[in-house]
Amino acid sequence: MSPEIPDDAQLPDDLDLAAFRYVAGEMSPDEAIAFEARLADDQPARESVGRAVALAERLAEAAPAEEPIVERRADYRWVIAPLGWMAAGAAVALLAVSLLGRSGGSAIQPPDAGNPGTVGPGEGRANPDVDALVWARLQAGPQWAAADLERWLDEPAEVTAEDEADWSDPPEVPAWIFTTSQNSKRGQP
Amino acid sequence: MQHHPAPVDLAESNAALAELIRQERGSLHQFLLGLLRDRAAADDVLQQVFLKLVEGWPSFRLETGRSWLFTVAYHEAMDHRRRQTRLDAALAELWARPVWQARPPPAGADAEAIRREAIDAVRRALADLPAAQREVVERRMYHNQTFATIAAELGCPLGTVLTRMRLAMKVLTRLLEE
Repeated sequence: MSPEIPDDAQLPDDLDLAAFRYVAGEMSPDEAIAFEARLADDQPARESVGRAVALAERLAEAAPAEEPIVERRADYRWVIAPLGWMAAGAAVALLAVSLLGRSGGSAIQPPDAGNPGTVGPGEGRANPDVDALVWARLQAGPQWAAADLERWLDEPAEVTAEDEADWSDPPEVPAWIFTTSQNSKRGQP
Repeated sequence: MQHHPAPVDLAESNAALAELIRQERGSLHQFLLGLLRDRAAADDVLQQVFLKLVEGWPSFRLETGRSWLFTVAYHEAMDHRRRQTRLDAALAELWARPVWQARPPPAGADAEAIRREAIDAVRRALADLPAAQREVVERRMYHNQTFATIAAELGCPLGTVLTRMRLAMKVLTRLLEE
């Protein structure tokens, strides 16, 4: 990360803040040289560096976990929820129809025989694992009732052994599945 | 200022030396990590500092001991860096590296509960911050945004963002020391 603070910027005059900027990698080389020269004989500045490191480390350790998979699964909730009365096997076909209806046939294109609209694993997708898992779940057939799918969307974040099994042979995922996910993230149907 | 040498009695002297090392180990290591941005390097240099402490212990002055230790640590770290980092470009890269990228090693099973507790304390402290301050801290720490970027995205002066960070740091430091 390159320092972006201009040399003539009006900064609050605070040793702890300077120390934090130093350990955060936000000082220009000239500033860092000057600050390190100060550290040669300025005990309060040295103590500030120690405090800044301690605080930064504690904050870093408390970083929120990466976006849990359950949240990404939830991107599909609006797709699944209206289908509560159906079996999941039928949901696959109806989903495509539903998407067509919602999109007016413009943004989201359903797969067709000539142009299946599939993408390879990880290809151009923000959440390829989740896209693939959702697709695998939808393909799983009648044993997956829509209520099961809804429960699955709310499951804890960890990828389960069942998920792993689904993912062991990465499926080709129709492009509309991840388009749906991306639109959902943007708040679009 | 009146100076007192380290205790003369051997047992007392050794106990005092051990206590000094115990007291200063953490803050010295944090200081060295700030300078070196590398945990293994900080560990190595800290050993050198304590070696010098042991060597100089007979004439060590407890009153000025902390400052002396930090001075030795500073020079040892600079020497270490000069040996390791000869190119200016490498030095610039080091200065641009956030210290928290030197993540701590995984905690053992016993330490895990304490670690979880510490993490919870930090999250509670963050949650107690005013929203504007918390946003700056979270963007800087968890979204890797520079202060300049944060100011641009929030549409406020850089000084405002830095002031929020400064205030947040003071509160967080106080809360986490309690």
